[in-house]
Amino acid sequence: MSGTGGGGSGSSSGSGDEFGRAVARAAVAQALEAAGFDCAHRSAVDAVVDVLLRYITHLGRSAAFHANLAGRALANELDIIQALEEVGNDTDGFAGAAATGRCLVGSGVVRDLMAFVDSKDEVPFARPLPRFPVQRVQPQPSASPAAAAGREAGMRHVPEWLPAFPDPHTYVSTEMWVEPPATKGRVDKVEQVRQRRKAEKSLLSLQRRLAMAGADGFRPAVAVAQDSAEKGKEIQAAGTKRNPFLEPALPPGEKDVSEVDMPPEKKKLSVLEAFAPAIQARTIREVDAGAGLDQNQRSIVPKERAPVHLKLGFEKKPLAAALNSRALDLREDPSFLKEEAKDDKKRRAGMILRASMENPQELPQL
Amino acid sequence: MLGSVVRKIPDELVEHYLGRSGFHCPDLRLTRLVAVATQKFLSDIASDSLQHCKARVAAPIKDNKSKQPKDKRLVLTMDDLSKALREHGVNLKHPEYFADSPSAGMAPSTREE
Repeated sequence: MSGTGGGGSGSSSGSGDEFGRAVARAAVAQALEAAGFDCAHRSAVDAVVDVLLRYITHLGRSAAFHANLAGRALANELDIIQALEEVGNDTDGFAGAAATGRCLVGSGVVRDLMAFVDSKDEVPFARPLPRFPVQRVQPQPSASPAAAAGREAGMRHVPEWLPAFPDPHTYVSTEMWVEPPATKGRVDKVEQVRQRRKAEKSLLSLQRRLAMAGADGFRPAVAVAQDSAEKGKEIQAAGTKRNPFLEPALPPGEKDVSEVDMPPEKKKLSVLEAFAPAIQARTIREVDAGAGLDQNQRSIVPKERAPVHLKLGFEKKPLAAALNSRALDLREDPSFLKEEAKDDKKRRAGMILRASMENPQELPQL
Repeated sequence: MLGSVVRKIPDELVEHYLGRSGFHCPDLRLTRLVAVATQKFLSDIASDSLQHCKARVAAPIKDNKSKQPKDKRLVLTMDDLSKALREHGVNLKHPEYFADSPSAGMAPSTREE
C-alpha cells in the first residue's frame, strides 16, 4: 500500500479513540481489498475510515432519536430502519420511498440490505473478525469496578457506558450531627459558673452600696441604680459638694478599725443620731448641747433604727429625710449588732437628758 | 440472515461507536444490523471508487500502448474517493499540495531547522 498523501492520520475528529480507528482501518482495508483494489493511498484510507465512523455514529444518533421520539429509551430495529431511510443509501433514494403509511419492514432499505446480504454470500470470508475483544474494555475504562457495584446497588436503569457515580457519602443524606452529652454537660457547667459569678458580683455591689449609703445617707436611691464603680465616683462628688470628710467607704479589710472607733465620715451621722433621742425624749435641748454631745458621742455607731418623730421647726438640716434613709439602711444592714446599739442609745439618752436639764433655757426652739 | 454474513466490521467496534452516540442496544441483532448496514455502505463506496478508478485507467487506453487496465495496479486515490462519496452526500476535498513545510505549526522544540 503506497502512501503519498500528506499527513498520515490527518483527521482531527478522532482524537481519543485511536484504537477504534485502527480497527476500522483494518476493516476498511479488508473491504477495499475485497472490492478489488490493489493498493490505496493512506490518506484515502483514513478518509474512508473517518467517513465510516461518522456513518456509524450518525446511524446510532438517528436511531436513538427515533426511539426517544416514540417515548422509548432503548432503540428498536424499526428505529434503525427509520434511521437508514433518513440517511439514504444513495442520494437517489431507495425503492418505495415515496409511499407513506407502509410497514417499515418491507421498506426498500430492508430489501436492499437483504439483497446485499444475499449477494455477499458469494464471497465467504472466513476471517474471524471479532479479533479485538479487548475493545469491550475500552468503552468502560473508568466504570468497571465502581460502576458495576453501583449497578448492582439498585441503579440498573443507568446505562453502563455512563461514568460512575461519585461516592455515596457525597450525595446520600445522613442525619444531623447530634451533640454528645459530654459537651452539653460542659455547657451547663459553664452556665452555672456564669450565674454564680453574676450572683456574687451582685451581692458584692449590694454590700458596697449599703456601705456607701451608710456614709452618705442622702443618696441611697441613686446608688441603687448604679454599679459599684460609678457609685464610688458619685459618692465622692457628693462628698466634695457637702463635706470633705465624706469619703467613700473603705473596703472591709483595708483598714483595721475597731468596732467603736469609726472613721471620721461618721461624724455627721452622729450629729443626726444625737438629735433623734433628743426628739424622742421631747425635751428641750440646745444645739450646742447637741454639738457637745456630738463630740462625746463621736464613736456612736448608728446601728439600729431610730424612732422618728418629726417636729417642724427651722432646723436647717433636712433631718427627716436623713433619718428615714438611715433607718432604711440600718434595717437592711445585717452586719451590725443590734444589742450594742441599744446600749449606746440608752447611754446617749441619759446624757442628753442631763445636758438639757443643766441648760434648759438655752434652747430657743423646739 | 444475519448469522450467515461474514462480518468485516467487528461487533465491538460498532457497539463502541453506537454507545458513544447514545444508542444503547442490549440486543445483539440490532448491532449486527447496524454492522451490516455499515458494511453495505462501505462496499458501496469501494465499488463506486473502483469504477471511477477503472474508468480513469481505461479512458486513455490506446491500442498502441500495452497498458492493460487489469494489470495496472488499482490505487484508491483521493480523487476517486471524493467522486464516489459525492454521490453519497459526503463532500470530500483533498488539498493538492501543502504550501508550507511539514514542520510548520509544530512546537519549536520539536522543529528541526
